[in-house]
Amino acid sequence: MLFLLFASFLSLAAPEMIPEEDVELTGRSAPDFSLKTLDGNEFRLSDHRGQVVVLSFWASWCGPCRFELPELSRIKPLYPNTKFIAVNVDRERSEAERFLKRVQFDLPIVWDNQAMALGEYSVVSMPTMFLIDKNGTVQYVKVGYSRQKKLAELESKIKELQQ
Amino acid sequence: MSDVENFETPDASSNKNNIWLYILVPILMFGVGVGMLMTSHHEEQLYGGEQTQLVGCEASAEVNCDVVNTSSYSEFLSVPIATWGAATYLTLLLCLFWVLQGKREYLKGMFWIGVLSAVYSGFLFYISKVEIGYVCLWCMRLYAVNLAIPILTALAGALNATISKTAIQRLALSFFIFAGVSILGQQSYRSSLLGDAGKIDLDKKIAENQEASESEIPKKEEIFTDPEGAAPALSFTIQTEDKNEAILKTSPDDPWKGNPNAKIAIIEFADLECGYCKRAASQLSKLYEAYKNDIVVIFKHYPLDPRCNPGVKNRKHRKACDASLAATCAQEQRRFWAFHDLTFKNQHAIEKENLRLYAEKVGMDLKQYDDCMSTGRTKRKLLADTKQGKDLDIHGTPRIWINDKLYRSGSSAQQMALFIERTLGKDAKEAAKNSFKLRPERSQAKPIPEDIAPTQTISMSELAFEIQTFEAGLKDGVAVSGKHVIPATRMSWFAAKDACEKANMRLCTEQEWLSACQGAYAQDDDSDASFADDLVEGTSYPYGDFYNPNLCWTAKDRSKFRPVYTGEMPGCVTPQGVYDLAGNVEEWVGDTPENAVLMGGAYDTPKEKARCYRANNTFGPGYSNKRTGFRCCK
Repeated sequence: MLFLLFASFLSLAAPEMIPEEDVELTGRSAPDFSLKTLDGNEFRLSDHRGQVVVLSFWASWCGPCRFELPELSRIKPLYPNTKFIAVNVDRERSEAERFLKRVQFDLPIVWDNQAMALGEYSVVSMPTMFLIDKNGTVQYVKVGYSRQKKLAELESKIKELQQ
Repeated sequence: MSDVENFETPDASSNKNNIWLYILVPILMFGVGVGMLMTSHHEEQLYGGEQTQLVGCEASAEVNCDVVNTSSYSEFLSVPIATWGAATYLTLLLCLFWVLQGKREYLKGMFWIGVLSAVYSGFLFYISKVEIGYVCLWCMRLYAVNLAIPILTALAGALNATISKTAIQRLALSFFIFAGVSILGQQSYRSSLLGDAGKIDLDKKIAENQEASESEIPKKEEIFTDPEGAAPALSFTIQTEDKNEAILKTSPDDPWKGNPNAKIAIIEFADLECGYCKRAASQLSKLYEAYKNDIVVIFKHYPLDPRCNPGVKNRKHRKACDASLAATCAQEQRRFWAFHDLTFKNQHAIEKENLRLYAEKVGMDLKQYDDCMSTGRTKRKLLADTKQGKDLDIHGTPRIWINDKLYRSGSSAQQMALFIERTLGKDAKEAAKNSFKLRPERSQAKPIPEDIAPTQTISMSELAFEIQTFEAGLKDGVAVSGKHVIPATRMSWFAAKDACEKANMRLCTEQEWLSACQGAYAQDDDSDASFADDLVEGTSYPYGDFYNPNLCWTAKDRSKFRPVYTGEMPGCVTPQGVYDLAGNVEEWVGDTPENAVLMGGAYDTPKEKARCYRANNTFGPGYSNKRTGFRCCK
């Protein structure tokens, strides 16, 4: 019996997983990037050092983004010293444009069709939002969007950073 | 004095508690009996000349002892689990005898054996319910026995008992003796059932099958044409699933193949969108190849789609009706079976436009096909089939009758071949020997040789290239391939390309990668420079046509999971010896940033979706995270 169980456990021995890495961006310096806005201007993140920055990654196929972006747009005027940026990661610009026809919001949009910023920030799912302080350090990461809680947590973090 | 008291107290209470142990005696005897019953059932189903029906386990949508007790999980070290169980219960009975004689040092051992058996039962129940999809009532009875052991021994005071080293040694020795005797009995029973058939070299058989599948790329001149003429008029009196007597009849316009004068008819009701039907189709095609002169195979449509099956309420199979309509149109052009096979092979993509592509691939006249798809008469044929299915009390698909005997999902070609052999008048031994040739192949992972080459050479049609054997790791920024290497993650296409170039290699193209994975030359059917959205020319997974949750590192979608070292899943391999193409980390392919695509899914890709033709092109080439890796080609 003992042999059986021992052999049984051996046969079920779990495959060895690779070591866990610490890739948590919170508390680390926000990776810099330079992308074009939809109207063709250059946007470089490091140009906004000294300002609190809200970076929201979105895609045309992302359902929650249809609610998150207008909500970000709604709170934007309440925090005039904070820079809000919506990073679109669609590969095809036409898809992003179709989305913009359906969903109304007023945020500067940069287009990351090569997923360069997306890769730097190791984003796995949409929407993902990063709050960066005046020194360029990531202070808060939020994955997903809740239509009940809205952006209450983000707002309180922005207030903390602006004090 | 106090010594005497200390000695007497537990004994006095133990005598009082012995009632629980007496209750355990018949339970363990029942366990031995069931263990033997399940062993003989297992052996008879897989190696026997007669297929005995197991009483007390009526097959239904949830219950099927035959499938569970013949699955790859039903054996451990090539011995049925039930045999191991019987040996364990015999050991426990002996211990019980010793305990009742006053040797209470065995009680704790019994308790722990019971705990481990109960835990193992939980595992087996999970496997049976989740992986196999059926429960086995007799197995459940054994789980109850396993649960009773720790409970009753605990009530009898096992937790306060002590265990000696001698007791452990005797316990282990008894188990070895009982296991030896049980295995001897089981093996001699198997040999008596098998006769000479047991000597068939299974590895050779599997190798033959693999060779067969490698040359399976459909060529136009090889497309199967349906036989001419109406289906033979046949009629069988059958007992339906609801125990009613009914007449199962063929109709002249049923698709058919085989010998129209054969004494044996296989009549299948199936849904082209149903996964179990796809599996059944592969088993039936094996049967057809083996017995085409002795059988006639007849197909009846039973799409689980309310649009052409009014009895169906849910709308889970939304494409089944169109697929059946298209197959009926294929029949009009004598291409039913070719279309049927191609549709099952590409079951993941059977939208209307794909069906039309398959029609073209099997050499149909598309104008005639389009006309046929738009007429009502095609649907009338389907409605007639589904009505007949309803009259026969069909509650699911597939339902296969071989003459008057019903087989359901999970029936293997071997089981059905046995019935055919017996109906053909073969004696039990001969029948077992012949049907054994159609035994399901077991995917047994072979150990990866230590000196395995870092790349494998693939040559197919116009393609000739080398591909890294494993997902690439990184050493000083250079791509390396080897066993037990950390596969590179957080790779963008740019970084992957760079690492390959430093190793004097390049990233694989989508066509190369897909060809290596599916074991067949990948073609761009719709000329859109993407190959993963086209027909499956080879196998869906590196190891075969059907998803096996144990072979590749997939569906590990909780936060505790990460990718594994290379070569940790030795069964996740193509016949050419390329490992880990499905699952673990997604792999960048493509020679330009524009056609950069991630292939094969990662460790967290849900179940059957981590397959060869899973192409993720959602994000651009800069995308990287803990799921993105690569391998190189040259």
